[in-house]
Amino acid sequence: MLSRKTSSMSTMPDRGSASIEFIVASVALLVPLVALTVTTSQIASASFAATAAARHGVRAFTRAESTNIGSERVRAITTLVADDHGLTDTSTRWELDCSRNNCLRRGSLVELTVHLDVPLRFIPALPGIDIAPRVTVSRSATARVSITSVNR
Amino acid sequence: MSDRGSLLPMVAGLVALCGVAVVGIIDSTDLALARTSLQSTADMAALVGAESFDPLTAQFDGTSLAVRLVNRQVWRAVSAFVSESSDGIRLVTASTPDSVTARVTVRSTWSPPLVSQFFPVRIQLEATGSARPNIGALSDEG
Repeated sequence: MLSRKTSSMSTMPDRGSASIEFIVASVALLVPLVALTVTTSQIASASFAATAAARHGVRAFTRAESTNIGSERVRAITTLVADDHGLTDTSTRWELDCSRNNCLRRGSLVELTVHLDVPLRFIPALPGIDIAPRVTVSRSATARVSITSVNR
Repeated sequence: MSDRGSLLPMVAGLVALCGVAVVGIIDSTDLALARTSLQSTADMAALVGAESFDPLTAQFDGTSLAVRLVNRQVWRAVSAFVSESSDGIRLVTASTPDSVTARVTVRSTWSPPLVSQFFPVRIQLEATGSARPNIGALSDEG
């Protein structure tokens, strides 16, 4: 180490711009990378949450006694799953698509699509990037109402 | 030997490496989600298969109602469910090994959502679900 330093000093000194380079590099490159990572993890969390909410929600809905009770269950499950994934500032919506007029009729196919609107905290704040401040993550699951359901 | 050099290329290299890691994480997350969705479809399809019995064949043995599943009916019910409910998912097997349990295997193909044009990777995913009929259950059970 000593010999290297000596030889370096003997040929050419380390004229310093390392700190300035580091600040420039970190601001220009690392900050967007961190923002991208945080945003990606938010979207990934929302995707996992939407998948779980759709999967469990449609199962709970198809076993409900009425569409009101079923909708209430879907609402409870969606809220619970979003909270579990730390998505407290995320707005949730869902749609039900039934193969028959009466959703809960025996043998009816029910498709539940859960939409989660994820706010992007960092991306809109970056200069020169013009994208929507929210990303919507949608996942769906399908189940059939049991033929042993209490609903006819 | 001198210590001449610039920090910038090293940081740029590090950032590029981190970028590759982020892409890898996004792709593996999508793979995990695809597996979860496929397993969900397999489970729901198994439930449909478990209810494919003919109600007229049900027999009461004094304590409970027993039904028998038949391979042909399980396959017919499950294939109708899979084709109606999900895109890109193929039914591999739908049968009943013991006339009581419906066993369904479904398959789909996954390709990475990012950089798939550079690395045309296609992975076959397979999921198996099993279910048994639950006769006379109230809506909150099982």
